[in-house]
Amino acid sequence: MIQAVVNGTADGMLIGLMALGISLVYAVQKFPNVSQGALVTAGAYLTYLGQELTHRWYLAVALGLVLSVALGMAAYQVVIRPFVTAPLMTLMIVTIGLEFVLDYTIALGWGNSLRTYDFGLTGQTTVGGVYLTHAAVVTSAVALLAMAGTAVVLTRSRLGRDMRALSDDPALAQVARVSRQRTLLFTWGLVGLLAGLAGLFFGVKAQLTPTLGWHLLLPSFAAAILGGLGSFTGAILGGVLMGVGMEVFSLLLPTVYKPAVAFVVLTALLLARPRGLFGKAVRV
Amino acid sequence: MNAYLPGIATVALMYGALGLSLNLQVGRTGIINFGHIAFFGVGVYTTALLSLHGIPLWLSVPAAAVVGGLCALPLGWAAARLTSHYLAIVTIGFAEALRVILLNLEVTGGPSGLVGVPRPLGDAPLETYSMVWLFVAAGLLALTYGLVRLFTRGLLGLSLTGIHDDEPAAAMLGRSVAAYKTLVLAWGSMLAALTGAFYVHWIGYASTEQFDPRVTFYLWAGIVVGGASNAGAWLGSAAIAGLFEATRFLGDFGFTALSETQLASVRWIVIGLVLILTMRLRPQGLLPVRTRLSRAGASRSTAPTARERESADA
Repeated sequence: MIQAVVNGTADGMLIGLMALGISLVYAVQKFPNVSQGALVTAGAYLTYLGQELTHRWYLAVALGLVLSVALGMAAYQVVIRPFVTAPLMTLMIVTIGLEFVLDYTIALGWGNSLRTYDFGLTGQTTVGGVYLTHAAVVTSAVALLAMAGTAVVLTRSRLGRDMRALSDDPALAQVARVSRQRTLLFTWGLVGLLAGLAGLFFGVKAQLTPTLGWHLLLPSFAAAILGGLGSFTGAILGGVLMGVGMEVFSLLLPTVYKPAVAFVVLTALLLARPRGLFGKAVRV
Repeated sequence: MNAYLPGIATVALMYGALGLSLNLQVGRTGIINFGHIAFFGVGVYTTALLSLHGIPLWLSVPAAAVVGGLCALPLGWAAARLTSHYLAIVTIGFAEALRVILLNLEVTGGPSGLVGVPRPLGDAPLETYSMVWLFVAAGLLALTYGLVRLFTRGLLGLSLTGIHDDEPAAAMLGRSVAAYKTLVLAWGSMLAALTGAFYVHWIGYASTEQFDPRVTFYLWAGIVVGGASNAGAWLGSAAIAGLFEATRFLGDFGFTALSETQLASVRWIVIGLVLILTMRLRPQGLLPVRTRLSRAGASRSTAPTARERESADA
């Protein structure tokens, strides 16, 4: 049981990282970004590409993350930007389209065979009878750091101030000379970075497939909603709760039912508490 | 090619029928359903299970439709309580959960699915078989069209249009939005399950690969390109399905530059580009809904967008 909670926490941190990206876009643009899945997949494969090219883990990580940021910004600049004022549904359909284009471009480029990279994080430590894999420890630490970093950016930087302004009241923000295009561009860069981190650590933990991000989408949305869409602490906490929940459930049910569990939790939550556990009251 | 054409056309027509029933929800009522294909799956497995246990066709097919409609009731209950994008996420979750459960239950044959589903006329020569089934599929499409029209005629249809255009106003005019949405979801899902029942008796086996949640986006691409009118929905869905079905046989005709899995990836990239580019260039689709208002020459293209933008910002 304790082992399940520990395993779930590490998995949940990954889900939380992904949910954090979803929450960021939702906060600023008010739509659920489906292409987050593909950005995570791309993060994993770009790190893999870095590993193939440089054979050094630190260079691979650096290259993977830089390319992930670039991808996030390019996604905004090329695909999202013309739709900034479009209705929510249009943006949702467009990001679904983007998800397919990216996922299957990856599938076309790297094929469907399983890929792995080894950063030497394979060991494990026993603490009080509970196994802790080093990968899980590092993943959790980085996820927490990423959350802290995002919080600092949001509260201390000019970009963060502009993002919060756009989130609160886009019209008023523009009156106050907040550049929407510029802020959104950097938001997507940040989202790319978070997705890159999530993808990177997914690759440390498991094998890469072109659909890895797609399969993480549902639990991540559940986590983002659980935490309250637009709430950043909530996203990570929601991710951990989802991870632990799914892991504990799989003690009772076969593991294969994990997505079904995610769905049930998601639906129950939406119906019982649509603003999430930490969501703020919504202006109607 | 003669051996392939009727098969491709049959699949295309069945997808056309699915596009019609999805459009009843999406285009007519404004319910964002990303899980439509799951109800096709309910139809596939219900009728496959029933007929494998010796239930005759005339009973198993309608039973599948009824079960499909009933399965939509929980979604209807959710639809009444959730705003559009939350519901969209729930529907795709529903489809994924259903696929995972059917894939792992023992009754449904697990990953190998259910084989040996009776195929009417299965003993007939292939030519006859495929031609007869082509007509059956055309009949199914016509039946679906009729049942969608039946549903959208008169006061009920007007109420749905009202919910689509302005939900609070429709509610204020005494329309029970929750009841209508549930009804529309159940009716559309029943039609999808009906298509699934026909499909499985045509192809002869049931497997969860036939309704991967992503397949719903074939239909979405069809409706987005075709437009939200009935004609746009079925023509768009049928065209996309037919085109994709046809590309599966490229290898047999000497086109070997791309392998089958690579072609599958290319198909999905095309779907993605179609979704993005249509939204950019012609968001209303090729054959949009014609209302009395738009026929009178009033410009509908700007008004709803402005309103939706407001509600999206709120």
